[in-house]
Amino acid sequence: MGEFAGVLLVFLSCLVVTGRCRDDTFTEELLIRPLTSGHIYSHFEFTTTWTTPEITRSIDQYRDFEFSHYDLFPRAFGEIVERYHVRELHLSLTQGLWRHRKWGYPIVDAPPGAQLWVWFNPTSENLDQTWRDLVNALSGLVCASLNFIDSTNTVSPELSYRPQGLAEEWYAGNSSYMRYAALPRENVCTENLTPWKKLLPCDTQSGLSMLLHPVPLYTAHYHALSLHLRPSCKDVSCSSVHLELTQALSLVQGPTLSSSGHQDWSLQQLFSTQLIYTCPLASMSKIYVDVTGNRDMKKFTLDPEPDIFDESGSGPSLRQLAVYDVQAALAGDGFNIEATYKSRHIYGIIPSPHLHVSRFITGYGQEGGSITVKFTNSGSTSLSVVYLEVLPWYLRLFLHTSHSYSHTKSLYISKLVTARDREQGWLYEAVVEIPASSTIELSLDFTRALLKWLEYPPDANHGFYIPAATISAVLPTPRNVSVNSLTCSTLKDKLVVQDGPSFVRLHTETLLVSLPTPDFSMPYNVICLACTVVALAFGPIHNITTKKLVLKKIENKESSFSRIVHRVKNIFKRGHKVENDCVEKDATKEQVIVEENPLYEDREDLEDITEEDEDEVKTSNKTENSQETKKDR
Amino acid sequence: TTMKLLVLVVVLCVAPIYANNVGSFSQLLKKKTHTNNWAVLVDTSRFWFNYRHVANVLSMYRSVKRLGIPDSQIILMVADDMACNPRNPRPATVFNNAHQHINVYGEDVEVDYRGYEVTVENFVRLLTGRLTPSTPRSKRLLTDDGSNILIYMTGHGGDGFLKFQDSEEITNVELADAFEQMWQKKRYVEILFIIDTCQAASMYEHFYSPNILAIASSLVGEDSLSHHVDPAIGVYIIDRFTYYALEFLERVTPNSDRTLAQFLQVCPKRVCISTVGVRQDLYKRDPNNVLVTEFFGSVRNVELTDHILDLPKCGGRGKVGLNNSSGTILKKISSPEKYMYADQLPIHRAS
Repeated sequence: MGEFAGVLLVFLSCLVVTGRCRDDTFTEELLIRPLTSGHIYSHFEFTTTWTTPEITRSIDQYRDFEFSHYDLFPRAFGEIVERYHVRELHLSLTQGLWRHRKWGYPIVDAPPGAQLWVWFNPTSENLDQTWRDLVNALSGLVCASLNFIDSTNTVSPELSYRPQGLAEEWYAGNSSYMRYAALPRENVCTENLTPWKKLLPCDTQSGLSMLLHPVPLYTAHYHALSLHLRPSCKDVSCSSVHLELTQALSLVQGPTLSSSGHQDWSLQQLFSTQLIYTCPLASMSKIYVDVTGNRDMKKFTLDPEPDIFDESGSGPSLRQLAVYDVQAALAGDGFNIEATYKSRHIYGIIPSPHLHVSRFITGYGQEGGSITVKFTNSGSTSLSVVYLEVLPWYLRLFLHTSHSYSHTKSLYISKLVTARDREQGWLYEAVVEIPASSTIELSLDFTRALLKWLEYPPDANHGFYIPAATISAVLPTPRNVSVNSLTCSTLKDKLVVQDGPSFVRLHTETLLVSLPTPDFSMPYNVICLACTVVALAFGPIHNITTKKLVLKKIENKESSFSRIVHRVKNIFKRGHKVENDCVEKDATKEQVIVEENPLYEDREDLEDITEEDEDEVKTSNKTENSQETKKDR
Repeated sequence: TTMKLLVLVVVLCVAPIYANNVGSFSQLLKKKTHTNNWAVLVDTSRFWFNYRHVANVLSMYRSVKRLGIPDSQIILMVADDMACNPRNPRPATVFNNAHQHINVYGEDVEVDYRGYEVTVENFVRLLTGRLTPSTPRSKRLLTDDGSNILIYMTGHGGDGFLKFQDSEEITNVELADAFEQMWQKKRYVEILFIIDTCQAASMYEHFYSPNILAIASSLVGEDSLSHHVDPAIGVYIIDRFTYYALEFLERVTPNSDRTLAQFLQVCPKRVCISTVGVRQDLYKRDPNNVLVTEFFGSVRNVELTDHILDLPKCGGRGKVGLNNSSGTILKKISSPEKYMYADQLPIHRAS
């Protein structure tokens, strides 16, 4: 009875204080992990969870969400989720490549560029049209060109990208509810960070999001922004469910070596600012520093001292975290964590993780080539992985050439969608078995297609990007794996190592392919050349073909006065013109020039005259009289 | 003829009444000013050596945002990414000055159309409002008949055209027609059109819609010149007209009383080298009476009213008529007894 009264009192006080008991929570966490390669890996995770009876019903019955009374959950995003039948959504915008070989497996793996995959609720509407509308809405939300996602780069893979939220077998096995697309050319900059930050309840005014200044973020070696929405269990017992929105930001910043070669770092150095205010809407605000192997602070010391230490896992998968409670620590002024190393950083050999993959293009010229992917399994057990390749239609694959350089026992294709020009891209999904401690290479030949003139982008000579391939695998141990369970909402719980098989998803590099590009200045050059040729050639040809050449006697040069006198004399002495001519021409030697004469009938005469001219030249001595006689003729 | 005379007399008596009405209506039109401000800022150049065009448009963005126009009413189109370009030695920054005085990119920028999306078709569709139904709100120009719009364009231009991304052009005739469509659809009250390209004055030659004031950084036959080169980056960093315009706008505050006539004098020939061209014949008001913040800021008339509107009570989702979960559900699904996560790798494993 007393307990009942107590519970009632708590309930009533809850109502009185907040109006209603809070059904959404917001937590912010930051993990800082110094990597053995000398880099620092920082991972921010802002998680908003929301539980209402309507949400629970929507999750149970696979219906569209109906949100009302938005509080911590961002309304701009919620409206998109409601309207486009979204059940689960994962969007990532990444700049840089995550190097699995050196850095292990991240908490959230993302390929370079933009990647979006969505599980929709079962509806009767056309999901392709819904997908088109969704990508347009998201492109407006995150200021990225996601609207370039269309049927040529969208696929529905069979085995990869199963739902990460609650899903029953009949739903998770039906890949027609799911769409996946990647845009490798998208770049990430402050314009994507700004709307992403505005989805946070505290924006950038307070809390861990105060650390997010663009300049240090974009000077990093690797930067990934992501949004993940999924329905999940509230706790391990899974008695109730909630909708979870995780906004994650991963960074790998260059080795912050001090002048003495130490890998010292601090929050001020990494993010060029300190934490000053806590977010009053956050129920938990914590910073974790990965001190695996440094529990006794021999390698580096942390200042201030961490509040508690969390330890999980065992053996090679041991993980030790130093935990700082930011809300408690920010009682006064700024909060800064500093790590000071005792000795210089040694760039040694880093043991490679269980599985890492590399992909590249081979071949030369602009006609063909081949895509080769190299899997390296450095563990002691063989692995079966699912390899997903999404290619654009203008790389025409020769599927019969898919071969491997080393002997593989089994490779079977689980899903293959052949491309149709300008309508559909390639989907190649295969299950590959990689034996223990070995490297296998798979390659696929292709030939490059010629695009139509208007299909080339404005900078066509840069090349075309091929999206990253996805490899999904289950590793036997959680060594190097950051997160290996789906059941937790907060980073704190996710980082607890659970021994046993761990699922990882890796992405390879994106590729850059140059297609045979026409010379876009060619039409201009051709027009100029053709017009020049026509202008230069037409005139003379027209002249030659339509005009006639005739001989004409030339008068010798006289002064204008004497010419006038001569003319006056001519008027009077017309009859004696011939003698006058003779008289004048005594002094000068006759010269014969050829002059135009439009009369075509005289052509024969012309020929006669030229023949006789030649005779004249040969003899070279001619009297005026003989010329006169010719003229008379 | 008497009938005709009577009709004439009647018409003559009635006409003044109508004329009065028309006159008062036109007077009303003159009093009617804008109620909201929008800005369309377009950079049409791609490639690293056109850094200055991106700096130009971001300078305008910065001024317009600082003076009060919210991001939801600014459409920013940037054809290439300079801030996070691998060749930029100072990532996430675009400066207007080699001495890095102002980072015009800022920390709060929202680009609406970027990269390959900046095309002539998208620009004309944006202006005329003929967008596909799935275009998001941030990419729409939702102006009405009370909007003042600032349109700023920069890039490479020639006599009668402006080049978009080195692959297509918009001609001055198309631009004039787009503005006429906007006028016919009552999408603006006044437009201030600023263009900073070579031979920019040719772009406003064919305008024929009313209430447009056009400013061009150079006349036909002249080139607009850039201001200075940043030796650290190796490219020209900003154009002259926009550099001096930014200098002017940096000293304007939201309650400043600087007029548009002062803005027209912002770049005299001795600093700009090219002659700034202005087209005022379509603009009825005197620039001496127009404040700069009427276009660059969000200064508008507020009408206080005592009239109380009686809004009906909203009855929730059903009453408002929102679509309840997209119609038909494919099959009736009951709540599961036990929640489960999907198998992430449903294959027969080797080990």
